[in-house]
Amino acid sequence: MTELAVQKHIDYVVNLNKHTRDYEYWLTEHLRLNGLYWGLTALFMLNAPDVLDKKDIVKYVLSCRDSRSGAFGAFPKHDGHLLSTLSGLQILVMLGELDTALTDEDKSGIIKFIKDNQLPDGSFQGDKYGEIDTRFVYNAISSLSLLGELTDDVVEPAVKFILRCQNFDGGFGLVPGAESHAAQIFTCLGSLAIADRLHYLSEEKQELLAWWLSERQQDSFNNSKEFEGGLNGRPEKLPDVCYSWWVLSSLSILKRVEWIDKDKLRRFILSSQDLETGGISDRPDNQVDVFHTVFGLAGLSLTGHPGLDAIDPVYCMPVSITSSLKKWKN
Amino acid sequence: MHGVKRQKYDAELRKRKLAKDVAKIENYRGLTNQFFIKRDSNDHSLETFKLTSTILNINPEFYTVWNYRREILLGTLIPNSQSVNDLFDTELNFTMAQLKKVPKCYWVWTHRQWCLETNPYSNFTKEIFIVNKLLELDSRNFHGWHYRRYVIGLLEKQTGKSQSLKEFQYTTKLINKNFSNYSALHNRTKLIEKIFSEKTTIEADNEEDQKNLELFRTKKHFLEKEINYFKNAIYTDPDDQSVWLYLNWLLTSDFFSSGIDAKEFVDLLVLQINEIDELNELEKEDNNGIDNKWCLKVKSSIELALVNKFSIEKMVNNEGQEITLKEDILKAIELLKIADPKRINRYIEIQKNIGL
Repeated sequence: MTELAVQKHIDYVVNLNKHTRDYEYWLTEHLRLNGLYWGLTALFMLNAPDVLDKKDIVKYVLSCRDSRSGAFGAFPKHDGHLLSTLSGLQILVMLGELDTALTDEDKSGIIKFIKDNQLPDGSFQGDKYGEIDTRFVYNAISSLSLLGELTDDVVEPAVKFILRCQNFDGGFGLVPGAESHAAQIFTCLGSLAIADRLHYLSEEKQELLAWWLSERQQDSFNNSKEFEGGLNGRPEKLPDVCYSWWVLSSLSILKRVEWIDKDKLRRFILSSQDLETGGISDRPDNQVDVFHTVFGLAGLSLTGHPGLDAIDPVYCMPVSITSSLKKWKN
Repeated sequence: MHGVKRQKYDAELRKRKLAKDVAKIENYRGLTNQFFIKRDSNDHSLETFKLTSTILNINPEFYTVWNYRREILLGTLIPNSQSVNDLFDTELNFTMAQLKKVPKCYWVWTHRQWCLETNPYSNFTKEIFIVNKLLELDSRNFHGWHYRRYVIGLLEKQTGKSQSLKEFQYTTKLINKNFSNYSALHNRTKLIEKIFSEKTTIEADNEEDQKNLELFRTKKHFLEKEINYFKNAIYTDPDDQSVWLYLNWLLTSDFFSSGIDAKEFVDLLVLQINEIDELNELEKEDNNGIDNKWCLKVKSSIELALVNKFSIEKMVNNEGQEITLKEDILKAIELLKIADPKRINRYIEIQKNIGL
């Protein structure tokens, strides 16, 4: 089996911000704060949390605050959104700077932004423009939890909304009625776990969902062994390294990581590394990016791969950080 | 990045790429700088609107620009428009041009939804026609399906009339084309539940509707017809997990078991177990005596339902012999441990839970 190229991946992440001469760097501004969170989480797992300058990171995060909405955008001057807000908070929490970087007033602004975006049916819109998605429920619940501001009046309707998103196969989709998708399943299970409401899913439903999730692990494809062991996000789809995270974190929340072949998954993830440049891609021999790098590493971490710091399947942050979070109790 | 082949640049190629990028970056950053100046001065002019088009044509993922585009539409363009409907038609065409490039971009779909909701003259029927076309190109695009359900919802609200029978027929059409279309099977489960709940108020528009409505006479009637309809699919491709997962729902979910007389339901399950056994025997003949994994998975799942939900212990198999369900499940599980080793720990857990 190919080895995990630890140093290459560290170098890859560190160099991400040096590509300003590439056009692609500018076309992905709208994902920059998320990208920074992915990169930093990867470095934590690779046991290199200090290789980036902490002061620079905090400064950048704060420069993404959108003064008009009170929330974080993905890049300076971009509009505040729940997606980037969670990333901003996660970065500050990982660096231990949440309380030093943000004043109480800043925090109240963020909390207000989050709560204002909850709709009467318990769902969340990403911002005032009205897109609704279970991703945003997770963003909101996780953000409020990191800020120590989860309250029953937010949690109860949000949980009700999530339960309406469950489908015939036990999975969850992006809104009620939408097809099950492994990434949406993570956001729903993660929200239920943070809200301490996993028991709202019956044991029977949890088993059905875990079965469906375990069936995401693929055999060889078109007689090629290349994809064997990889996980897909929906039936009849190609495996993709990022589902190593979405599926395995979900199975982990359901306490059934063992329901797939971890060794075969590990092989698939490791064969998707770029051993020259560092970084991990969606499938072997494809172009690497920071998104697949962090979720590949996170998947490996959940399989217990040696040399990686443990990742929290609920918060997608290192356990070394989340273990000191004050957890919400129902 | 999804599905993009790894590219290796040597020093010379890399140099050439960077040289090319200089002008592109200058152009793009010039546009975005200009955009933020206009936005920060609250400029709602047609010129700034055109600027948002230019930027979005380059980068349809730039959500802040979509947001401001809506502000301009609401602030200036709609109030000053001769024909709001024409304005929105142009806007729909603009989003379609983006979707052709990035059919999985959330922001573009969101903008299209916003258009439909904001235009008082929206034509939902025409929109469904467009979604049909999109789903023809990719019948598994979950954005497309999500958008379809959304438009159907708007149409139902506007007309006060359920579209469920027609949507049910649409899933039949797609399943006839490709029975492993999991998106269509998923939508079918939603429509089935919906049609049963609104059956008394639903009206058939034409013969096809009437035929479909007839299927929903009772849950038992529906279930028998539905199993029959999918039988061909599992015989054609017994390794297709989509259809098996759907059948598993039909046969083990509370939705059906709660609406059918318990004895009749048990008889139906026993019949299905025997039919699956029969299929598995045929598969074994074709595959050097190797069992079909999905036959075993779904068969044991139905047997578990018989044990857990109906407290049934024994049944009569194809050979007329009485078998003990728990023993039969354990037999299937033993075979699966070998045939499907990736999931061996699931089988071990089932074994433990049965605990003979």
